[in-house]
Amino acid sequence: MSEIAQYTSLIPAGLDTQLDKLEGWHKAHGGPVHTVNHSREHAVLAPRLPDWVIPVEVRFAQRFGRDYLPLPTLLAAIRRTCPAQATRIVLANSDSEIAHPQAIDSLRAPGCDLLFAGRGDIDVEGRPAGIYDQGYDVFSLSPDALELLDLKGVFLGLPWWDYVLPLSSILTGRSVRRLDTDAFTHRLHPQRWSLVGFNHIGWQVMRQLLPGAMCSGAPSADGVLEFARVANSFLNSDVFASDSPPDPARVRAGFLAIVAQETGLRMDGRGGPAAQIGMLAQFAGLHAALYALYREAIEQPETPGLAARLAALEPQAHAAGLAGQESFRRYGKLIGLRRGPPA
Amino acid sequence: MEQHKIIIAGVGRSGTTFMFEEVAAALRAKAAARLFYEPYLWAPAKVNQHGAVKQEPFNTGNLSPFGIYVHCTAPLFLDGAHPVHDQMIGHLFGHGEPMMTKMVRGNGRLQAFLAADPDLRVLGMTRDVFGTVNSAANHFSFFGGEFHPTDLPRFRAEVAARYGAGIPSDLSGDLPADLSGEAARQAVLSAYWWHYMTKALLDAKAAYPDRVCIIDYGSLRADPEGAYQVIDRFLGLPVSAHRLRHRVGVVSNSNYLSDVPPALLAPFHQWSQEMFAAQGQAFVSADSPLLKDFDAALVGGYGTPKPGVVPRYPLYHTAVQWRYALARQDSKYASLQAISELGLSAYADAAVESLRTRPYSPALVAGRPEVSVIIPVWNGAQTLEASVASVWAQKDVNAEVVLVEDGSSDGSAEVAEALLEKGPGRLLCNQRNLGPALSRHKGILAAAHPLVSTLDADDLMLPLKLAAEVDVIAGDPGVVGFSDVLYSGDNFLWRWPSGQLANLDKPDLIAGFAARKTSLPRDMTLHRSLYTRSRGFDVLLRLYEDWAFKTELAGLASAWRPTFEIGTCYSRKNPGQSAGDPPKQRFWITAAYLRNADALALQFGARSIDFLQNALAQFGRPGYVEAGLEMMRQRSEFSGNIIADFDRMRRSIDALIARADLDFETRTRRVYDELSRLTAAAE
Repeated sequence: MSEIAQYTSLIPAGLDTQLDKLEGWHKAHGGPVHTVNHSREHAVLAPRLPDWVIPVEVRFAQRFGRDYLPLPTLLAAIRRTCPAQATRIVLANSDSEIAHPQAIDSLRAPGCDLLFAGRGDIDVEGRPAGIYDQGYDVFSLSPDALELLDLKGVFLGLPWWDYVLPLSSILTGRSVRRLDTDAFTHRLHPQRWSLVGFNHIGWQVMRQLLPGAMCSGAPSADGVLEFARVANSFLNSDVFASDSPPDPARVRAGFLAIVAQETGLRMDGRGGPAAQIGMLAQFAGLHAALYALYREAIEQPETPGLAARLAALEPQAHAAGLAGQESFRRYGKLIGLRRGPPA
Repeated sequence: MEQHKIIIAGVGRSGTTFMFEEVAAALRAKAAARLFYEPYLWAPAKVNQHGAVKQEPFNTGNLSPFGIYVHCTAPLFLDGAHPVHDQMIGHLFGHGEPMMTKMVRGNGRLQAFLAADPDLRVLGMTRDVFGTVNSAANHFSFFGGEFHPTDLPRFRAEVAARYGAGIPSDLSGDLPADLSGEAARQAVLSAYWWHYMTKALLDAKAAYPDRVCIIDYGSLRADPEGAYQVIDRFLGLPVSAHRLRHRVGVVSNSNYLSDVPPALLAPFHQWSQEMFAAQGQAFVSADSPLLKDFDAALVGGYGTPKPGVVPRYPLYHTAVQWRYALARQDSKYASLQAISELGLSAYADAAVESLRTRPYSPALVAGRPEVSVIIPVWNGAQTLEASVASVWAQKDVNAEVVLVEDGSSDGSAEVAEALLEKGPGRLLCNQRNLGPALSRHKGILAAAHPLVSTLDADDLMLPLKLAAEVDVIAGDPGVVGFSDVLYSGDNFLWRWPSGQLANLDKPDLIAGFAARKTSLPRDMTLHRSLYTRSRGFDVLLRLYEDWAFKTELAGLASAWRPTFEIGTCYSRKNPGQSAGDPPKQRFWITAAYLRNADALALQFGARSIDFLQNALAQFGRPGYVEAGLEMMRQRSEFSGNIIADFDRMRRSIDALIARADLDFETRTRRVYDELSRLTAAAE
């Protein structure tokens, strides 16, 4: 029995294409691939599945006109069917491919509660189209971390589901690491994306992940978008890029501080984000300073001395141990772009 | 703004596609317009969203049953009103919007179109006979088996009646002696087509000189600047600014008539020279082949000889489909005639009588499509027999009935049991009255066949309803087939058409259903697997469950395809449940709408609030409804609130559905008042 138990949710349309891609995963880890589907889809799918796919039938109230799988239902299905020997639970979109079998080893990741990875996009002509950095496609969880899936109002296939696992891990103080690889690929295809869904689900996510922060303020599209930007930037930062997961407490504090500073969300201070601000880790403070500088460059681009202040932060960046300084360079580039070419 | 209504008319192979694309580009740059590409043959989908004709227009899968039906059943040369052709006129012009169509089988009917709409302008394309026939020979034949099996005899008869002229009747008959072989025969027949279609165009020009402009294809190529000046001025559009860089469609650069004696076509050419010279009403350049010497300039100018008539298109499919459509119309008209002459009751009696007088079990023929028809029965003892008879009388399919007896008190169960001894089907009996939604749901799940349809116990199917719907489904499990409905009352007979749904793309279809802005088909035929992928008929809804289901199905199905025919006779002898008692209607419309509200909000945003408002309009919107919806609109400034508010409404209404102690007005008011109490900003 493989130590990896893989779960996905196939959709009835284009089934053969999805199976072609999942077969690579099956061959890589040697175990079956579980697909979790509502009875309606299960009835259509089950007769058409090869032996190496295990269909898991579930029932739930349909939302948004399709049988999008709620994360808590996925959690219940995994708990019901996951082999006891499994040491990692892998979640991957049903249209993700694994480029070569050896890549599966990178998902075994002992000592890390959650490992998440993006994808390398492939265009319609089969050419690499770059690493997608607006979400994640592959997750590897330790069995002890499955409760991360216990989030209401989040559905596989709808906006935010791929963000909530790492965000939830960070905010519950779990060890998180990002895998930077192009081993997991995805063929580009037209997607249905809904701003309404993004805002609605995003607001639900914020309320659940930051209960102390989301007091009585009115929701706004800007607030949700800003939170998404901050989360995306943070998850793509160097913090998660090393071979070992960063200190969870420092990561959590840093993320909360940046959220507080960038989104303007009110914090209630009852042991929540406000209290955490004082615990700012050194690197998180650096990120906050960089954000502040960036915002200033956007809002008051004529402010003199922005470049000098950016340069002044460089020693702190080194002192914070941010190897590679990618985020530092990125901010510098952004600030430079906003300011236009040097005189 | 000027109302552009334009027909690009031609003989076929005379440059109409080319001109259609150029004018379409000019028109789209100025105004949104509805475009139709050869409506007598192809479905409107032949024109893509950019106005361009698809690469291969001759995909027989895109044949339009409606257009073919009109073409087959209306005269090729038509002067005035005609009951079938008027449908086509309404189809093209009846929307009050700018429109344009390309038409190559309609020159004989142009005057009917011009008479129907004073805004219409016709840009007619002509071409010399050799160029036309030669190009067709590389492409299709006007009277071959691939397109119109009925066209030649109709054409011959109409030409004889109208012009007193004879056309060679067949290959072995009175053709000229040197007309041997299929290529020559097709060439001569095509020339006759060219002759009379060109003449019809010139006649239209004579009758409507200011609204018809004729452009000669050869002149367009010889003197484009002059031609486009005429076109721009005539249409009031800058067509010259949208000229195509390349020719479109099949281009013929060879002589495909090398086996055809030139003398056969020369008289036609002579006629055109005289006609154009005499009338002087076309834009004809001196360099046009139309005016050149036939043998030397035309025949010799077409390059490499490549003899042969090459009908390229699948003969079997289109010819059979064509003939089948005609047979279907005959049968439909027989039924409709009986209904209009006898009345629906007598027609139903006849249906029952046919059930009584023939061998009990309908003939089951191996290989025919099999359909289960679900009929919920509640106190339907008086009418059930006729309904069942109309199912078993369906032609070209094997149909069973699934009768779901729903706690009747009039002996319906016994009637159903007795009926089922006469033909295929089964009986399900509910222990108590569960309503039509759950009854249909149970029936569909119990159906023996993969295709299912529904019928009310007091309605009738016309004999080809299921066959026609199976035909349009064409084996695709994602497609819904549907037909028009004939509403019948004590003193009225009214056709409820739904074929216009074929012109809608998917979002418009969903929006139309959700807002109840378009006609909602009844008793569709679909694959059971498609039904089971849906949530089905919602058993909590006592009214409008079918609307909720159809709205969901609009999103789920890959296509909704009309048969353009009457499928069901819907008996409406009393107001029914869907009329009267506005508070009750408002409550159930709201409840049914909320079944799909989250999906609609996801796709359409704040427009989904308008849909609900529009759906309620039929029964009036009291102040509390307007106030609640207005608050939703204010709150939709944060679009995430739309879904949250619909969720809030649904929780509220679900709790009120069972509150029989409250009247419907109170229940509905509570739902909308809850919205009104919210503030624009607060969550």
